[in-house]
Amino acid sequence: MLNNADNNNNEQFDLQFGAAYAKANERVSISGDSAFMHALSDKMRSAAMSDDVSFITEEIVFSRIAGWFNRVFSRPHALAYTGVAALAVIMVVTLPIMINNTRSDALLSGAGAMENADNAGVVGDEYALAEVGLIEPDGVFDAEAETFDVENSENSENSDEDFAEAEAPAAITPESQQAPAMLVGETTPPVTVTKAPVTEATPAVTTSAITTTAGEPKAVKIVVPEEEEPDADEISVNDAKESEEADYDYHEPEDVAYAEEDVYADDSAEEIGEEIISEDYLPLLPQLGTFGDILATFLNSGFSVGYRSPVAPDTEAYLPAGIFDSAANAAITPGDYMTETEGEPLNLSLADGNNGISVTLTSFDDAIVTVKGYAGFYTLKFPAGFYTALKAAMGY
Amino acid sequence: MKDLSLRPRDEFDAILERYADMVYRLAFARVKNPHDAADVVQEVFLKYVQTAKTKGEEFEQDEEYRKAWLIRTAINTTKTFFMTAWNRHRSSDELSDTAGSLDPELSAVETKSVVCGAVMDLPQKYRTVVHLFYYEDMSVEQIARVAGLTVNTVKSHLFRARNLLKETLKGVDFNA
Repeated sequence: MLNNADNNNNEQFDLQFGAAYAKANERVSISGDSAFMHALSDKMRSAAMSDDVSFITEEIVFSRIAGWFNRVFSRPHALAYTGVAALAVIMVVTLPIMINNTRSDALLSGAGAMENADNAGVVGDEYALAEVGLIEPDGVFDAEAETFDVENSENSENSDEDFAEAEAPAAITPESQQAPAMLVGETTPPVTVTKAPVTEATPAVTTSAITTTAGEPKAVKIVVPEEEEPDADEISVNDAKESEEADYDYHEPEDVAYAEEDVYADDSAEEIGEEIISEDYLPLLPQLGTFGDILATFLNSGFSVGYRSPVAPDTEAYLPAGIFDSAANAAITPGDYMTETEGEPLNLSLADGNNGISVTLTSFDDAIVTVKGYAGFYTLKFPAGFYTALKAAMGY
Repeated sequence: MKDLSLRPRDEFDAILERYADMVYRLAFARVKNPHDAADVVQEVFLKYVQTAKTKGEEFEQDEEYRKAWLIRTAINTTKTFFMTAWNRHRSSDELSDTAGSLDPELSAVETKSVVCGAVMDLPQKYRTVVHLFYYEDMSVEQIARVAGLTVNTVKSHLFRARNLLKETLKGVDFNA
C-alpha cells in the first residue's frame, strides 16, 4: 500500500508510479496489429515516392468506422449529436423540396386569388357601369332602383317581385318555349319572340336572335334549329353514284379551255405583241376617237398582227395589214365594254363588212386583248399602258 | 493480406518498429481512444515521410532529434484532432470521463489499469507531461522542448499532476 507517510516523498512516488505506469502501458500497443502496420508501411513507401498520397488506408478506414461506432454507441451525447446531424442532413435535403412545393402551392393560391380579384373587379365594373346606365349587368336589375341591388340578385323572392311589378311582357307564343334570359330596363326597346321551328330529329341550338317590336321589355333566347348533317355512314351507294355521274358529266367546252391555257401560256404571244404596236404609237391613242376607231386604225396602220389560231395553236400567222379598209367601214358594235372592273369580258365587235372580217374583243386587260375573228381567236398583245390610254381616249 | 515475413525489411519498417508504439501510447494518453490514436499514428508517420524528404539527414544523424520530432508531431496532431468539430463538442465532457472511456482491455480491475485510469482522469495538459516524464523517461527540459512549453510550466504541470495522482491512487498497492 502506498503509505501516506511517504506521500511527501516525491521521488519514491515517482519510482513506484513510474514502474506501474510503464507496466500498464505495455498493453497499449499498436505494433501488434500487423495489418495496420503493414498498411502503414506500404503507405509510407508510397508517400516517399509521391507527394500526392492519401493518408487513408483501408485498415485506417475500418479503424475509423469502428471508432465512430464505438464513440457513438458508447456515449449518449455522441449518439444525440449523431441524431441531430442526421436530422440536419435530412432537413438540408428535404427543405428545398418542401420550400419549392410550398412556393408552387402559394403561386397557385396566388393565381387563384388574382383570378378572383379580377372577377371581382369585373363585377365591380359592371355594377359601376350599370349605375350610369351604360350596361346591363347580368342578374336581376331593378329598373326603379338607382343602383343595382346585389341582394336582389341573390334573393329569389325579391327578384320575383321585381318581375311582378314590371309591366306585362309581350306575349310569348307558346311555340317559342323559350325562357327569358334577362330583364332589361324600361327604356330598352321591347322585344317579341320569333318562333323557330324545332323538330325532335334536329337538336336545338341556342342563338341570340332577337326581333324587336312594340311591347314590353323582354329579352329571350331563341332556339334556331340546325340542319342535321347526315352521318357519313348513312350515305347510300346511290348517292355516291349520283355524285360520280355529276362529276363525270361536267366538263368545260374544249374551245374555251384551250383559249385560256394554250394561247395565254405561249411566250411567243408577248413577242408578237411587241411587234404589234410600239410605245411611240401610244401618244396618238387618245386622239383617235372611239375604241372602234382606235382598233380599226390600229389594225389598218400597217402593223403586223400576230395571232395564234386556236384551231391550230402551233401555227403562227399574221393578220395582213390593211385588213380593214378603213375605220369608217369598221362596224363597231359597242356592247358592255369598258367596264370599270378590269378582267371583265369586253363585248366589242369590230366587223368589216367589205371583207367579212369580224373581230370581237372578248377579254381585255392591261396588256392583252383577245380578238375573236372569223378564223378563230386572235391574241393581240398590246404594250403596257395601252389599256389606260384607251380608257382615257374613250372618255373613262 | 501480404505476409510481412516475405517483404524485405527496410527503413520504414525499422522506424515503425521502433517508434510506432511510442507515438501510439502518447496519442492514446491524449485522445483516450485506441481508434483515434491509430489515426494519429498513421498521420504522424506519413508526415514523417514527407518531412524526411528535406530533413532526412538530420533524422539519420540524430536519433534523439527524430524521436523528439515524432513526439512533437504527435502532440500537434492530437491538438488538430481536438480542434475538429466533433471532438470540440465531446472534449469538454466525454474526454474528461476517463474511467468510462477507457479501452475495455484497460478497464480491468487490476493495478495496471487502475494506474492508467488514474492518468486518464488527469486533465489533458497533465496527461502529456506525465506520460513523457514517467513512461518516456524524458527530463523536464526535454518535455519542455517537445511540448513547446517552458520548463517551469512543465514542472508546474508535473507537480499538480503528481498531487492529483497521489490523491487518486491513495491506498493502491503498486507492487500488487
